[in-house]
Amino acid sequence: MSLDTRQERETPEGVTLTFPVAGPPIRMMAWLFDTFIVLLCQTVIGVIVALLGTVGTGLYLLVAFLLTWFYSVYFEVFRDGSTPGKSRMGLQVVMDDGTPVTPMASVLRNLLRTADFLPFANAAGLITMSVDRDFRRLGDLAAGTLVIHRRHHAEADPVPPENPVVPPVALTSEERRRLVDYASRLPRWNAARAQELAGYLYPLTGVTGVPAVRRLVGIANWTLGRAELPAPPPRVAPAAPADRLPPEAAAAAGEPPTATGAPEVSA
Amino acid sequence: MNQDLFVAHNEATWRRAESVLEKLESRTEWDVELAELPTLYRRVCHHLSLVRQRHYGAGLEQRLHDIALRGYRQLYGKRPWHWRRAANLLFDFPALVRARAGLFWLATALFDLPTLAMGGLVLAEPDAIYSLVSPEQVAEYESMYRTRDTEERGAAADFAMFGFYIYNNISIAFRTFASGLFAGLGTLFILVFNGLFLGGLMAHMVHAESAVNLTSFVITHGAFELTAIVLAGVAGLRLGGAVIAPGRYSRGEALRRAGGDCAYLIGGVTVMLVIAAVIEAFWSSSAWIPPAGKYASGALAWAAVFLYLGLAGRGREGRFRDRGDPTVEP
Repeated sequence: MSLDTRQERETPEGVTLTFPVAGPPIRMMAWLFDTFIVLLCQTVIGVIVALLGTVGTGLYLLVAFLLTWFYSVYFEVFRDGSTPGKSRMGLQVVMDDGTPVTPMASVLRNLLRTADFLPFANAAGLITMSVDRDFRRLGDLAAGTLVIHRRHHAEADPVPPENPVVPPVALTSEERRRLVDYASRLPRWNAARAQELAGYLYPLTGVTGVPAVRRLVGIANWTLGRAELPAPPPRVAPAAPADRLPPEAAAAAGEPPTATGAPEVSA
Repeated sequence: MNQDLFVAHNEATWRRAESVLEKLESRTEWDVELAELPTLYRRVCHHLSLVRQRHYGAGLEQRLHDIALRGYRQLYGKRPWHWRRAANLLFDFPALVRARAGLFWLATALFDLPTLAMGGLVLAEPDAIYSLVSPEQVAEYESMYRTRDTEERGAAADFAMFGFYIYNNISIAFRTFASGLFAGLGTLFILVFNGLFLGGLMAHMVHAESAVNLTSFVITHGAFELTAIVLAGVAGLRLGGAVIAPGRYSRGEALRRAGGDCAYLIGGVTVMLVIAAVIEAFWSSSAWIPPAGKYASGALAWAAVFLYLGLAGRGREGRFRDRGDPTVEP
């Protein structure tokens, strides 16, 4: 049981896939955006067909009918479950098993939007969404659909290289994973935050500040099974190990890329 | 095996899976290598399990999860429709209506009884119409049917009315259906109210001496239009029924099953109302056709609708009849 609004489904292959279901506020925003687009289209088309006289009236009513009832259906079926408003908010309609929404389900959930709108301003839908664990409105319940956050396919951040450090105590796999996650996120934090987090692990590292950050990255490198870094090219004076952090990681660790001389941790 | 080695071993598989998925998702290319997907997908699922069990980094898990999810959507998503299934719908629709005969007669009664009652009332007591319809509205309807005989409206006006019938009537049908979600009450109200309105006006027109205009106008498209409204009522009552009496299922499950039925029904209703709108705009209102011709076409239309709903697709009812199984595919 988690506080997170995620739904889990187990596939026939035995792995669990998670779907982050979307809550009322962001869906309301997507809906407002779509409503605005529909009204805009109707107005523009209304102005154009006004020039056509009586035939224009018929055309306008046909278009208004299609826009009112099938705008969402078209985009959900042919644009991978996202109307322009949903796509703007990063939302997507899927069947409740996570597969793409079927045409019939899309028609159903959008026809029942009428019921969700009653008695005014989407009240019925809002109440249902608030009560349901997966934020489904009435149309979603009948059609068997979910609205989820669409995730970006981001490449995993690499762990910055550092000389591997064997942890002083045996870490569980869960703990090792947290350290790898910490190291891979390092470039996104500022130095103070990175050091503050590292400070909590004083019992493990025995140091604070920049050396603690470096030692944790070292343990992460050891977890990944990386070899010792190659010795830096010889210079006038032997380079200090602090050069080994890549520039952005070094910046996050709170030192200028050229800093030298910090006492190095060792295996 | 540690994480870096694991990634190095399997990176090629993941890249391959991603490129195959991209092709499938963009639907631009269909070629032999797409057949690799099941194998690649199962391998990625296996890797994802390993990553989780060994607690490799969250970034790696996320990446494999995304590939697995995309593969899952491709493999287990419902296939797009084949045209042959669209032809099947032509026979499934009447079979489904017959399988829900109880609801059909209930919806018919909810619509027809108020029509007869209000019609009888207005025939006996002409002023009763004003308890339901405002005098201005009544006058409007009267003028509509008084002029019908003498003036021919142009093709442009016909088309404008066609647009209006589509917009207005199909929207009413959709609302009749959707409001059934509230324990069937919305559907009940719309059916009864429209019945009263229709009965009252029809009876009033008899007094107003435009009876021939009105009945000859209504009779042909009415076969499709009135039946379609009743069928939208069936769909609405089916939803309401799932809420009130879910039977052996949870309310959510009952609602989903009802939803499968309703999608068929509403599809059929929409087609019927489009037919009705064509007839209403381009045939029913044509002044050059004598009333006798319209009555003949009306008789034909009613016969066609009832023969279709009564006989087409016999033998398919079983698929819809049993509430337990087999599930109606939405």
